[in-house]
Amino acid sequence: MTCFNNYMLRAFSMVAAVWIAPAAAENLPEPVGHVARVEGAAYISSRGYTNPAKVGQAIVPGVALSTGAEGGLGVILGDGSVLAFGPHSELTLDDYRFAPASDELRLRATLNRGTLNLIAGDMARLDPQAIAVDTPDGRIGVRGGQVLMKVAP
Amino acid sequence: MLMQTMVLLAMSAMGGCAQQSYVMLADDNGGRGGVALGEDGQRRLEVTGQGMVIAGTGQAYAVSEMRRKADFDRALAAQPALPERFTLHLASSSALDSAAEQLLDSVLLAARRRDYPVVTVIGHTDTLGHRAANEQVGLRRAQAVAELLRAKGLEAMELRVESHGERNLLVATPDATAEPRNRRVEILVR
Repeated sequence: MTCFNNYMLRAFSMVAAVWIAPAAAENLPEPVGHVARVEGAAYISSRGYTNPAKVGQAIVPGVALSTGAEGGLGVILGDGSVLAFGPHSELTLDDYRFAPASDELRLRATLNRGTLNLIAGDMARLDPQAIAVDTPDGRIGVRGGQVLMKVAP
Repeated sequence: MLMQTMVLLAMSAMGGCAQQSYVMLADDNGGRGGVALGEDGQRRLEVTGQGMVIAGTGQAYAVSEMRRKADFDRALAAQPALPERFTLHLASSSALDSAAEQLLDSVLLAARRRDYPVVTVIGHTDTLGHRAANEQVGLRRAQAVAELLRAKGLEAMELRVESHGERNLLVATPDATAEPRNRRVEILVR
């Protein structure tokens, strides 16, 4: 029953998102990345609407990325940082800015559940404190390289 | 019923300490990678293959291959094709040499290999001159290269042109230093 409700909710949100898109398009923030890989159930939530993730789809700060039971999702951000998720995962991209010319370098995200495979891009080379992922158990500062994190249920 | 009990037993056997939230370093990027945990980032993880429980004050430990596989196989499999970087060093003359031509061709190929390529062309300068002026110089360099890529028939979902000016050096130098290696245009295909 819960599943059915979820499905209906999603179906309804999709219709709503399409409906509202023309009005919202003007004040949408600049894309900071895009979806590069989708396996099974993977979703992007923005402004309260959740839609299935599609390869090529733009990522903006504030979005929530999530995967279902058999889902996987891969995202590439502007500085070349890669975020890849296993099943049952959820992350909010709280803040992202890659503008070395104005000394603005930050990737802030919250991993609420699941697994994240993060490959740090140019951002970390320029400032080892630029990338941080918050979890219910505390903050993970990623200084560079490839880092795997798991938030246990 | 027996099957269910066995599954439950197997699941609980995999539990224990491993059910805590943890982080592991899969690749230290030649010593430049790592993780910092705790309020002031005092707990450091710097060795490839090691992990650390996120909460508390625990030390780093080796993560077994079995554990890594069980927890992260799917997240590793979901990894998209990694971004590719190309660096074009600017010759003193404005004419492109054959190496530069080849590099631009490789950019076109890399973009063609992807379903939805996003290409970012980034101009860089050395630290000689004013910072604001260098940002403009970097942007002009990037625009010129983006134009060449367009002329060659680059097909991309998005072509971005940016400048990092003198704030993203390839070779670290003090301010007001001429360094030809820092005068370059980077192309990121992702």
